[in-house]
Parts: sequence; structure tokens; C-alpha cells
Amino acid sequence: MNLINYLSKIAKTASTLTLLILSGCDSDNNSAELAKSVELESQRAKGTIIESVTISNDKIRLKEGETHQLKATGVDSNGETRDITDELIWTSSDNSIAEVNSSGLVTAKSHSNIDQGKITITGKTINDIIAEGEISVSDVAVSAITLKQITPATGNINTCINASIAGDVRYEDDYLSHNTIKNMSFTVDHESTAIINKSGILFTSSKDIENTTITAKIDNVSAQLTVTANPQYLDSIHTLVEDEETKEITLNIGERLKFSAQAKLVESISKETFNIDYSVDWLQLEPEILGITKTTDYDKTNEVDYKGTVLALTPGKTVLTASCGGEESHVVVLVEGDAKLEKLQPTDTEGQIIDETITMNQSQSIKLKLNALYDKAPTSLNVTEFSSWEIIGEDLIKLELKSAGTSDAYFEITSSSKEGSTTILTIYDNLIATISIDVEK
Amino acid sequence: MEKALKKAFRQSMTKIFFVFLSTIPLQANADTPYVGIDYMLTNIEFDSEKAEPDAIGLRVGASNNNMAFEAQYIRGNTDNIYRMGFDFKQSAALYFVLQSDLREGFGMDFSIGYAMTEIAVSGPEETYNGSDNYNGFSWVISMHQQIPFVEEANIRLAYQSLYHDSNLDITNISLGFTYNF
Repeated sequence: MNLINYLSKIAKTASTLTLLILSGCDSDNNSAELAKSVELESQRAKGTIIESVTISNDKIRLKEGETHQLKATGVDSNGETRDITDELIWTSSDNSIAEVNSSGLVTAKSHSNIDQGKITITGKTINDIIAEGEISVSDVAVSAITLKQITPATGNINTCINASIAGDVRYEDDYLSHNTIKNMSFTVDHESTAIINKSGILFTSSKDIENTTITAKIDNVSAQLTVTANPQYLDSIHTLVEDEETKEITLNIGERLKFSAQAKLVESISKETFNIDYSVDWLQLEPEILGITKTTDYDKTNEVDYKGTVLALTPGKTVLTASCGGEESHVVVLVEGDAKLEKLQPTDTEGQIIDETITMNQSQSIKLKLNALYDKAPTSLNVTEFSSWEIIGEDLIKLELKSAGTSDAYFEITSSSKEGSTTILTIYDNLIATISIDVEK
Repeated sequence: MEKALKKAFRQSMTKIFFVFLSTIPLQANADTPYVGIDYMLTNIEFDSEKAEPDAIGLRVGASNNNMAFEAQYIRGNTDNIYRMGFDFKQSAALYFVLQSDLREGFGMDFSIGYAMTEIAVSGPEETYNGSDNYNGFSWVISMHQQIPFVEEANIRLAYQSLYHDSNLDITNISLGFTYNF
């Protein structure tokens, strides 16, 4: 018993002493520096330590509040090149003019007239390899634009393959902004089948050689560039579902599926495969079996693209064809199900059934959709996108389809500044539903 | 100056807190003192690399009413990350232990406390060289089973976090014995 008491006292004394010793200590370390050293040593051992850095997307002029993404590529000790934009420590030579974040995104803070508003953005690797880029922040007016192809840099564009257009912009203080699309609006000539988006990406699909004249404009200054899209090197196109090439597929009524398309050029030109979702046209052999989303917002190139989304509408077999540059790819689609369409039901986007006349104020917008009701699953299907919406009577409203390719598709109905009454006739699969609208002051 | 004041304040508060904690077991009656020894696989872990020196730990504590107060001391060996040697010099820690009831000799403990760990790093000149202290909040979760015919002794398996910040974690898994007097 005495021994136990003795040990208990030892434990308490040891605990108390340890406490007092510990409580007098504070962390004395540099874990950040140690972690950096470990990362560097790891890169040295793996041969992935960066030995040279190049900053691109620089030599550009920004206005106050604008942002611009710089890019950095590095060559490691294995001779491999990789994107190291997120690996660099970025700094600005003058944070009052422009700041840069840890991902190389530059934000212009204030205009400067000193030395053409130029500042230096520095990117440094953890092993202190440094590269510099130039940014200018000024509101001096544009004096000239020179448009050019970025990809491909020279020669004809390969039809169906996305091409990139940008310009060198000279300002009145003689500063030259390189390869920029900032503040440019693009258009193409009316005879061309090509489409160009806000980012200067040109989508071509003609089966013949086609010249397209692109016009870029900043304020009152404009420039033109004529490019030629040639399908001669287009070898084949392929239809994919979830990145797998597909030749045949079965869907149930109400099922929605996104098809995408890829193109291959002849091997002597490129062995790459190219996503051509924005250029390809989608058709089906038997109409009404599938609803196909054929349009897209070409400016949302970084977001989900719904072009090529199909909705299985009625039972049967059809062939879905992807077509671009004279090449085609076919998928046999079998739609199964025995649900019978019973009636159409217009609703608003909250699901409220529209069974009375809608009263709108002048210049007001409402959102409506059309559901097809079945006797069994899928019981209710949003068929807004694949139904016909016709305005009967006075031209008091405008219709615009939104969220195409999704189960939330709807028409945005905007009233004009006139008063009166009108009717929308919605037709789907030989059934009709009417929506009456009064426009009041 | 402000930094020094903050540091002094933090140290004083820590000291008061620990002295307060240390009085709890001193007031208790019928304490059960215990000692333990553990073999540890320590883990000094960075984003993408880790060193795993092994270590030996000693524990001394006193328990009462499913609570205990425990002091721990660890001495470790060296492991490398490429050319950088990580020498786990020593670690001292103090824990307040919450103990479960024993069911057929099996129990679980959860400990929270403060640990001070010293690690020396050596390597070529272009790497990191130096000895640093990693002090701060520490916790342990452990399970133990009485050894048949020796009720005072049990075998113990534990996971311990000695230090954590945004750059590194120091943890260990240990297997050892505890003897209750």
C-alpha cells in the first residue's frame, strides 16, 4: 500500500513538473520553410524541379477593374514542360496599379500615365527561378487593331476544328497590347455559315471551302480579317456518350442524354482528337422520336454545353446523325416505353398550372413551360423545347427559349409597351394547349 | 514589443491553465497510479512526403473515477526524406485522460493535452538544417485489453496527434503495455 501511495505521488509530481516545463515553452519552428525544403528536395529527387520559367499572356493593357489571367510554363530537370501557373509565387511591382493573386490573375486597380502605365508582374518558383511579365493599366483610347489567327497561327483553318482569333491593339500613347480580345466585339459576314463567340473562337462546319470575313471592333476602331476554312484534312467524326464512342443506344421515354462529337484529322496533319460540340449539327432520321437540342450559347465555352442533348419523346427507332464539314457519324437510337400522352399542361416555372388568362404589365417578363402528361411513367415531361409556340393575334409579346437542353427549359415571355390581348398556341404531338395573355398598363 | 507581450500573456495563461489542471488529481482520493511503455511508429508528414522514424515512449499517470492525469516522454530515431534526415529527438506531453468502464477487461481512453516535440533536420546545404520545437495541442485515442491472469497489466494500441499545422502533421501509432499499481 505504501508503495502504491509512493508511486501515485511520483506520478503526480512528474505530471506537475512536466506541466510546468511545458507551459513555459512555446513553439520555435519554421514549418513553412521546412515544408518548402521537403517539396524542393522531392522535386529534385524526382527530376521535376523547375529550371526555367516563361510567362505568357502578358504585354496587355487593362482598364481599372479589369482582370487578366497570366500563364506560366516551366521546364523541369527532366526536360518536361508543364503548366506551373499555380506553383509560382506571384508579385506585382506596383500594387496600387495592379495586383496579382496566387493563381496569376491580375486585377487592374488604377490607371497610370507613367511609362505607358506599365508594371512588372514577377513569378518565382520555390527554388527562386524568376520570370517577369508586363502589364499596362491605362484608359488611353485605341488607335488601331490588327487581327490575326492565333490557332492555327498560319494557313487555312481546318473546318470543324475550333479556331482562335485575337488582335494586336495599338493605343494613342503608342502602347501595343498583344494577342488580346479585351473589349472587342466580333462579327462574321452574313454569307458565312461560321459562328464566332465573344472570346474570338470561330466555329466552322461547311462541307465546302469557305471564306469568312471577321470584323472586330473596339469603340469606333475596327479591323477585318478573312480566314479560310477547308475540310480537306477532316478525316472522320465520332459520336460519344460519356467519352465512349457510341453506335447504338436504348433510351426510355423521358430519358435525357448528352451526345458529344469528336473529329479526327488525317494522320499526316494531326493525331489528336478534337471536341467539335459547338460546330457539329445534329439531325435525326425519324422526327418526333427524339427531341434534340440544336442550339447553344456559344459564349459559355467554359460551362456545360447542352447542344446535342436528346430527350426520348415517343417509342420507336431512329438514327441520330452528327454532321460537320461533309463528314457524318450515326447512332441508332431505340426509344422504349408504352406511356400514352393524355394532355398538355402549361405551367409557370414554379409548377403553378396556367388555366386562366394571364395579366401582364407592359414591358414585363414571365416564365412559362409546357408539360406533357402521360398515363404512366414518366407521367409528366417538360416538352417546352420540342413543342411549337405560336402567337395568335396582336404582336404584343416576344418569346425566348431559355435553359434549352435541360429539364428546366422554359420560354421567357416579354410584353411590349402596347396594351391588348393575345394568345399563345402550344402544339405538341397533335395536342394543343392555349395560353391567353392580357397586357395592361 | 506587442508580439513579446502577447507571447508572455499566452505563456502565463497556459501556465495558469495547466497548474489548475494539475490540482485536480492531487485533490482526489484512492488514485491508481500506472506506468506504461510503448513502441511507436511516428509519422512526420508533409503535403506529399513523410518521414517515419520509430520511437519508444514512457507514460506515467494516476487515474481516479474514469479520469487520469498522464505524463509522457518519447525518444525517437531517424528517418529520411530523400537526402534530408529527420531525427525525432524527444517529445514530452501531458494529458487529461477520459477513461471508459472496462468490459471484460477491454476499455477505451481519449486524452487531450499539450505536447512539446523536438525534431532535428539535417541534409545538404541547399536543404533545411536545424532543430525545431513543435509545441501545441495534442490528443490520443487508445484501446486496451487486460492481460489474462495479470489483471494489473494491459496491452494498449493508440493513435496520437502530437502536432498539427498547415504545413505538417506529427502523429504516431503505438503498441505497448500499461501496469496499474
